[in-house]
Amino acid sequence: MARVDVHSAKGSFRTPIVLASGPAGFGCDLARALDFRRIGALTTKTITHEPREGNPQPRIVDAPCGALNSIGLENPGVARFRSEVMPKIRALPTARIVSIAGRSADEVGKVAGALEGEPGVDWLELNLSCPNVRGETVADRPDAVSEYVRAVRAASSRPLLAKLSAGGGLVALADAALRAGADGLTLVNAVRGLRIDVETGKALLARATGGLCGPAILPIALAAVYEARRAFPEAFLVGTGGVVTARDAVEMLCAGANLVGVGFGVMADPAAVFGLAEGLERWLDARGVADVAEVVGAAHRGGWRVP
Amino acid sequence: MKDLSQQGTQTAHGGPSFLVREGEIVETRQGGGYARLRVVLAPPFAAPMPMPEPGQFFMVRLPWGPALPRALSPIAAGDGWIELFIKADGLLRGEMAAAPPGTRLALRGPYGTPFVRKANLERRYVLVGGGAGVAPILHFAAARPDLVASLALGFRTPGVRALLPGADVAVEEEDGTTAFGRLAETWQDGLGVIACGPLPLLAAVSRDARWSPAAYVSLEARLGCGFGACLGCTIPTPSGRKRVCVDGPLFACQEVPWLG
Ligand SMILES: Cc1cc2nc3c(=O)[nH]c(=O)nc-3n(C[C@H](O)[C@H](O)[C@H](O)COP(=O)(O)O)c2cc1C
Ligand code: FES
Repeated sequence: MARVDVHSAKGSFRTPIVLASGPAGFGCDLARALDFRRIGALTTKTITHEPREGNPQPRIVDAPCGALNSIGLENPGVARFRSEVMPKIRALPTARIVSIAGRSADEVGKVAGALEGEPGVDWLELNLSCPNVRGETVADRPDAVSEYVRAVRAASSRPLLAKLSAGGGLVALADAALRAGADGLTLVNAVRGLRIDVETGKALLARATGGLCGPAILPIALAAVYEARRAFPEAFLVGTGGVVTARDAVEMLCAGANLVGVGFGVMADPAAVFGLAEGLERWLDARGVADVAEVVGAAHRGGWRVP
Repeated sequence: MKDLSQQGTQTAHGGPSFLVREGEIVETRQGGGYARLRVVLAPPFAAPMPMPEPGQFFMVRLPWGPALPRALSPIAAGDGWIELFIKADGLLRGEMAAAPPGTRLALRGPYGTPFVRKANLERRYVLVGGGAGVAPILHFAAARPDLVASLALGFRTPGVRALLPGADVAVEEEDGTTAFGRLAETWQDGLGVIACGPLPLLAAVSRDARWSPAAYVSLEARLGCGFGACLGCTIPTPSGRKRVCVDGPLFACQEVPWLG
């Protein structure tokens, strides 16, 4: 059986398959019937300092090859997250990446600081790119990205991922995040999109635009990961966006991802997501590849078959 | 036919089922912009699939194509089969309604709290259904005749009657009568109301003080996961935010004061 465990300077993962922030919530519902040992890490729903209600309904609609969401960071706030959620997810047999966000560098620093003493917070992921909250998508200005990352870095000793969206300026933003102390990048967040009810002519989502996820964005996510890997050969990358099959995951790894995040797939068919690591093992075995690390970044080396 | 996944387990633990079950459309009838599909469920791999109780729903999609599943409550269910009643529009439902017999569906569930676990069982009810909302209403009426005082079903156009044999359906285009009109005619003191349908109908039901002590509405929120994780479906209530997919879909009107 091929090895699928992943090791970085800051931590290890049993498989490269990661539950992306959002669709899996806090993993508790899934854990009642599915085996988290097949998952490299659970990324939590994004946590902010104060509780948030998110956006009005409707806030999720289907789209060709995917879905459009505008949840708007509904979450219980960091205090209740610590007292009510952490005790439940600490016991899960997987790594925990706690996603955090805020309206200012000061807020994200406070959230990171509040989690500093918390056992079971293996990584932090700083969500700089939510498309569904007004004025918080800071991931389009390198100076803002470094300010936020520095604030978290100052407040926390945990390994830190910076989550960015696809689009122009990705390399400059990634550079800002890594220079400011991020240990890796998560690419990408949902891509801004819109759907309209033709019978009324109105937008389907209450907030009109939302974030497109699912197979529709796989090529976009692949290109972002590819671009980041080319610019940062040593960076630790979580490739997220449109992955629903083991084959998609292999593509993401070849583009340069160390870990592969899955969001939409958890809503479409959660059991299949928990089978992705096995599918990946079988894919590698069938081709005589002994270790998943051999395919990571293969697209930058003329393919994985070349020694 | 086979299980589409080996991983999801049955709910001996009381948690949600993630098993994706295959079903086959064996009969499709269309009328008035709606479609009624009879779906035979594949025999389960390990444990039997729990029968959907009225008010519960499946997350349904076509096995090919990466669509977000759609939450659909059966209009009828029996041993190894269900019937779905859908509006023939939208990306997925349009394709489902046009699918020929033999087409496979992928179903996950059943999810949601059955109507009988939310409604006060000491009363009898006028059941109100508008449009595709008649599905769980007719399922409930067939399963619990003891709780039903009368039915008030309404559609815009008459073409749908062929899909609902034996049901007395108000058609707005014919004589201006609506599901709400029928409710207002038939409701009597002491009866409760359970309604499912478009938001304006539910809002009208929840605004009316006559039956407010025992009025319930089944909300048709847009769902993502169906099992309580993604927060796509949450709504405010006086006792905090609730998830339509887990805590509903049926809510007492007092729980959703914003509706009226
Ligand atoms: C319902 C839903 C909720 C999400 N919530 C969050 C969130 O709270 N924080 C975040 O960083 N990303 C969130 N995302 C984005 C996903 O983590 C992911 O980056 C994106 O959906 C692309 O991956 P996918 O195509 O596998 O879904 C959410 C996505 C969806 C569909
Ligand atoms: S649909 Fe995902 S939480 Fe209700």
